[in-house]
Amino acid sequence: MTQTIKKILPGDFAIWIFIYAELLVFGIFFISYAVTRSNNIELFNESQLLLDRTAGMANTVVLITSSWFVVNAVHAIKAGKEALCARWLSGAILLGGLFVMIKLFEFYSKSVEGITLSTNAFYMFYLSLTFFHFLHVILGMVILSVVLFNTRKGSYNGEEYTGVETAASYWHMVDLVWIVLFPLVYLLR
Amino acid sequence: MSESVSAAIVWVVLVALTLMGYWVGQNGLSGTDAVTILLGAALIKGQLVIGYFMEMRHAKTRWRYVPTIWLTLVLLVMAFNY
Repeated sequence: MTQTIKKILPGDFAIWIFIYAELLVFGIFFISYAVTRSNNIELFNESQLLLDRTAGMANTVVLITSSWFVVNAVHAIKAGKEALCARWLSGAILLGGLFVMIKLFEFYSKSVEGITLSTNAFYMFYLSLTFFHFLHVILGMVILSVVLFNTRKGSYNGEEYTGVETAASYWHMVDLVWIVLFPLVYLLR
Repeated sequence: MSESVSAAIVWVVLVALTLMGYWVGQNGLSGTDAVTILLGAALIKGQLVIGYFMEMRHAKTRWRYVPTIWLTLVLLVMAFNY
């Protein structure tokens, strides 16, 4: 069965088990946030106003663009263009680095303001949700870097590119989760 | 249309919807209209990523529906709580 599924989902099937498990965890987090907020609407709305929406928007554009670069990397390797694939992957990793820097700036700003996990329920969710996602960005960058290394080594070509697709699928999941997280935590009120 | 051109168009739409959401947030809009716009934009963006970036529209298995079901359920729960 695994063999059959492996051929019809992009990348290795094992990554999809991982991706679905991650989506489940993030889904529970998001629903908990929405339900908790419905009992503390004023507190959540007031605290949310103090977030840096521009940083959140910038990070959304950065992550979406990085995901698009990875799509181009997959198209390149399928066409047998290893060097081009490596260039798109490098660009995607650099953008991942930019996301990390913007997010660290946000964490630092909040820490200077004296905000911690115990400040209130909103910040408990804001810090834990965004930090949990932040860790996934780091892991995604590690996976992309390994695939970039292998691409440069010549491990992938126009016929065998499962590794590139596997990394791409994970990276798009990280993007998908942020697409829900950004409006939920930064914008919806 | 080539896959690369489709992906580029999807990227433009994703960025445009992000900027629209940011505008809603910066102007402090709230209430049913703002929630509908933001959740609607998230649904379209998520579905575009699932279909065109994750390439689920080419997958030939019912596993392809898992991310779409996830996205729809999460956004529905949000809609009921806002």
